[in-house]
Amino acid sequence: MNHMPLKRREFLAAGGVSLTLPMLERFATAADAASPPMRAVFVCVPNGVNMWEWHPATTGEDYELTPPLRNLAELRRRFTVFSGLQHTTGGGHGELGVWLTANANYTAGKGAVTRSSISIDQHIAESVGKQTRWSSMVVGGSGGRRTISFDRQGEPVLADNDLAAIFAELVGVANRDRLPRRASVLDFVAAQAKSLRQELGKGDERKLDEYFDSVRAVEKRVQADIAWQAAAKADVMDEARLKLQADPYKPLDYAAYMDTMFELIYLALRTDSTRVVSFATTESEGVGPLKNLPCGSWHNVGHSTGDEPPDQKVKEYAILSEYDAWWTARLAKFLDRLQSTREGGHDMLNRTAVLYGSGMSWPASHRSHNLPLLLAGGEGLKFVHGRHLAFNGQKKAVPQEKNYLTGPKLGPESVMMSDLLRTISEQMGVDAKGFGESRRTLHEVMS
Amino acid sequence: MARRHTLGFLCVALLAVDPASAQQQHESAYADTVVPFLKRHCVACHGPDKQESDVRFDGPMPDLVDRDQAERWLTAKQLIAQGQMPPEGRPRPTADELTNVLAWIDDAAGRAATVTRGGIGRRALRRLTPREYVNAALDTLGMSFPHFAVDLSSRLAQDTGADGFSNDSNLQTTQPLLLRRSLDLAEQLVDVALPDAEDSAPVSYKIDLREYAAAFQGKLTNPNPALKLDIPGARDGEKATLKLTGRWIAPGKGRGRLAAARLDSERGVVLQPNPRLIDLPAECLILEMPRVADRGVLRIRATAGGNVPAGEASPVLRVSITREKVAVPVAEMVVTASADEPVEHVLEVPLALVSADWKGIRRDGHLSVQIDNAAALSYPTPRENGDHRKEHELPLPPRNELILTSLAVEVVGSPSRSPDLLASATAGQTDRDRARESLEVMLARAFRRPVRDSEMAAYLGLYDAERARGGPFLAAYKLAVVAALISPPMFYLVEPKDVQQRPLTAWEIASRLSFLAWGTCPDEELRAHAADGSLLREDELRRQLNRLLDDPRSYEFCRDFVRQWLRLDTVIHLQPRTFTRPTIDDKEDLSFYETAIRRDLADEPPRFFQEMLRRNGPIEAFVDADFVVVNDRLARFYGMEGVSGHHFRTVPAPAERRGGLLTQAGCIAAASHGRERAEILRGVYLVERILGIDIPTPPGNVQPLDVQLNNDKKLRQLTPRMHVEAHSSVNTCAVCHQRIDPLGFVWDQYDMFGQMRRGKDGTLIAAATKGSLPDKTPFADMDEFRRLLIEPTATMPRFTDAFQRRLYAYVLGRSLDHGDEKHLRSMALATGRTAVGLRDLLAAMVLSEPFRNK
Repeated sequence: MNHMPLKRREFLAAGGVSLTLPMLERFATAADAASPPMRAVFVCVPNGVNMWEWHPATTGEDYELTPPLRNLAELRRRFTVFSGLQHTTGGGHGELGVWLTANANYTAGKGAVTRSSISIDQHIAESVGKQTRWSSMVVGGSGGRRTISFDRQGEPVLADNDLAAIFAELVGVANRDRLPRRASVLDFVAAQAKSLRQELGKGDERKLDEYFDSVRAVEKRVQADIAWQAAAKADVMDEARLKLQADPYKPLDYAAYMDTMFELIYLALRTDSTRVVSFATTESEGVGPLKNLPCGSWHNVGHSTGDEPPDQKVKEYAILSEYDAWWTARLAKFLDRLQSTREGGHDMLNRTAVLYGSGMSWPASHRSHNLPLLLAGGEGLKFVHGRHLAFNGQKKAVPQEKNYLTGPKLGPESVMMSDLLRTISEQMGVDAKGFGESRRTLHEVMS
Repeated sequence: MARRHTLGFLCVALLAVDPASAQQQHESAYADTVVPFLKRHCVACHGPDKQESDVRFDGPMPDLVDRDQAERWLTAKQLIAQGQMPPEGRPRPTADELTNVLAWIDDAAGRAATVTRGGIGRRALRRLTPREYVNAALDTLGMSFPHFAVDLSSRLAQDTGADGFSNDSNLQTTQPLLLRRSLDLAEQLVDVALPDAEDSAPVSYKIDLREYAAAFQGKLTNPNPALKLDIPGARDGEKATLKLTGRWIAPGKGRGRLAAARLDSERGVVLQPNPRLIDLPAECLILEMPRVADRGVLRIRATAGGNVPAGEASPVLRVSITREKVAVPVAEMVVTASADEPVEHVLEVPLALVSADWKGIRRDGHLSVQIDNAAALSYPTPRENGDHRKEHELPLPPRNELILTSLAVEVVGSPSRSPDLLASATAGQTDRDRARESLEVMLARAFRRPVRDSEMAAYLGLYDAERARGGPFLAAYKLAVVAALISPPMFYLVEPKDVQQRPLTAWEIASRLSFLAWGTCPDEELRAHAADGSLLREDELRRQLNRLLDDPRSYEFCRDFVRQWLRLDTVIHLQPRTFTRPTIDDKEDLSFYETAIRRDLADEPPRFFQEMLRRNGPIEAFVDADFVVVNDRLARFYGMEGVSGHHFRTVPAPAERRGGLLTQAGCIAAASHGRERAEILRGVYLVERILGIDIPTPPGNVQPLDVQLNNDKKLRQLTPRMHVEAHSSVNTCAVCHQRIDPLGFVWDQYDMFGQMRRGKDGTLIAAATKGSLPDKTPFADMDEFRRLLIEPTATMPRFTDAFQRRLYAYVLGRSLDHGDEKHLRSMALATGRTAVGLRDLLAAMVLSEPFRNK
């Protein structure tokens, strides 16, 4: 593979615009800033995992890396793996609507997500997002309403899945000269919407308000683009990593699509375009690109295990393991990318908390206790890593224990996934007391 | 049946009565009939002393606009109607009592529905769907690119779930992502329509391919020949390079098929189908051009004809933009001209709208255009039994040939169908007057109505501001056009409110009609009828509807409605092969065929719908038709002979394909989700899509049927029927599944792609098609099932009723509610109970009150 970075001039030519060089000198990246920003990334890989393998058997620092986690061996000191965290309601295949919202009353729809409550990424973005071009980056492999992000009103935030368009917006240079005009267009249509509003009935007004809010949001983005001087530094771009034409519906393209999306997330963080990212890698159940993974339909295989003991479903569990490792390999690549980029006195991972996991544990019975979750990076946010932490007395599932499918009885002392979400938010500097089902912060992961 | 309500005597025409007195009547009816009923039958348990289930019926008159109230009262209505309330042991209400109370609840619910949605017509401001938006924007700008292979609407975020129609204003939202992408698209479109003064000399290359052929004839046998020819530019002299590439590896050395392209100095370059777009295509022409800007229009003029052996598909001329490992197909056109009489084919591609890899055409300005023959097989050739030769050793049957005689490739400033978007400059006219004149035409088209003075002033103000900032005329005008394209009157179907509900204006009706029938804004004739108000007359509205439906553009409506209704888009991405036997070219030809047949499968039901519209076929024919609408590939798929050519046409149906939609492979495939064992999924599909019954989402942890089968050895020993029956009886989901599961058997004779299930020897496998409808009416097979769907019932045949609801929701652009019941009924009456023609039904819907009123 040719990893030759793109030269600055080529990059500019690529942008299709001839800027004079003096202007370029103002380009800088977040890396140059004295105190790098804090960031949070949420990556959801739905449909559960091979639960016989995922969680380590012992807790503490000396736990043995399980097969799917071996891909992360090099990063062992940089992440914490959790056992025993849960949502009260998993939502089954509505897991995307619950994962970051912890909405116990969520009703799953058919395929796309339905209304939920605000998700933690948007909660963080409401405060942190003001400082960047994009308040948050919401992306997904299937896109649209296959999202894990929900706004304050509980409306799903559509996930973007158009690689080329995301890249174009990220680079932003191509249309730099027309930004001021864009701003005046948006300002103009906002005024038009306002005068139209008086003519409409109540229901229509609400709809028009959506339009109005959207115009304002895009306007903000344009203003941020205008003010944004730190365009992507040329050596940030790595051509070989960007397969912008990859089509997730083509099995052969699937890995390239996911890797490119991770790379775009990296670039967005690297250029400080945003500090909050949510990535719904694929859909839960569904008929989308999910089945294009190398081994066929992951969802069906998950069901096929019947959550039975491992020796009963050897073939099925082997396939699940393959999936789990396929995804952790992608995660490892992403984390490594962050780790090998310097900023301030540290690497980027130091200031980036990455929550990775599924909204489901046992794939056949769709359990939502003992969720497979790991938190990587963010030591600069006071997270302390290199351990396996188990909560609520959770033990690793063993076939001899008959009741491995049963979640613990939840008492007032129970620790929830909400507590972890809240902790991430608060370490980002955004108060999240009582978020979802949270009752306390997860101090265990900070000491 | 869940949705069929007995309406009693609700046919009180709400509009005919003065609203105030209607309200009075409604109130007195409550006091006179409902209150006594409640006192006698309900309040004992649901009143001041006891509140069973937390429900009370002793309050003041309820307002069903309140959601909770509505739910309580409609639940009560259902329980009373079913005789579950009052509970056993309590005195039964008399028939008179019942009728009056139920009718009152219906009336209240209907009124509430009208109030909630702010009028009898539409509930909320309806946004254009992504497809409509692209169509309308292109029309407003006066552009069309009929052979452009890029679906621009896919760049706009889709915000609806899998279940509703994308035009359902209740489900639509508008989000920043959508607006952002719409703005991007609007800017790009305007750049294409109104190019800045030519920034570089136009590029133009003309190649006589007969000369090319003469120059290289006889050199194709070499391995990797360098068939490169420099082509001088017609205008600026810069050279481009034309090369014919292909796999001419010595036989036996390579794997897979070899190139069969020929050079013919009499006729030109002869290309056989190329199943592989990138990574060693079998054969194609590549023109490498120097330094082309990434804007303007790429125009290909190719003189081409085809040789088509019997049973083969027509050649397809495909143009792609390529670079290294990326190739983006940008235009496609079927070539039907014969080799002896080649004709000129013109394909236009707006370069700015090609989402080619950013580094592809942009990095160094070079542009490579690949031209090949993209015809897929019309039917794969199976491998002989016992033939174990390697794939490349198998002789391939003769394929069609695309013969290219000459080729002209140009990059020009603006599209050939030049838009009248800019008034031509006249002497003595100021720039501002020219902008005003142009804006008047453009804004009226974008807004689908005359422009108001205040709007005109605002847009001119936008223009002025840009000029004041020093912007040139064109830039300032383009700014106003972009603003118009994303402004609310373009983005939405705006229908301002009035104090009272009101009839729509002629302009508003024109928009509704045009977006319904063509998925785009009104054309000139429709605008004329809106302008003189004649569209408000029933006869003119009917005439215009018919005119629009007669136009081929109405296929947009057929496609959009049918593909969503029957979820046909899922068929495109189904994984398993349709052709299960080994073929002589599994590696390339077959996978190319599989892509093509999926597209055809998804196209058949809309084409069938189009034919039904054309002939005003009775609704019943959707499940009972003696014809099919197929093309060559589908005909072969169905085992029919004698259909050649890529276009869809009507032919008599073979015996196993007389069920209309029910025997169309696309529907069966969409219902089967690519699973061999799909009885339950098929049942759900039939219940929801064909019988129109909403069923709740199943709990999250239910195992798919084929998975259950895999898991449980005992289950595997059962027949499919026994297994499904076990499922619907033991499972806790029996309540729903007893209604769903027995339906799926009706397709037992058809496999997951809708082909007949056959044994190895080709005979039909005995199917067990016995099942029952959700209301337990049994059927023996497909024929009986179809008869049950269309036999007369007390109200309407089952299918007709369901179909009418689906279509009406689409026509109105919102989900139906209680207030629509009477219109559905009156439509049924207006069109007559039996043998309603599709076109008549559509006309009745368009003429109905909700369509013509706010």
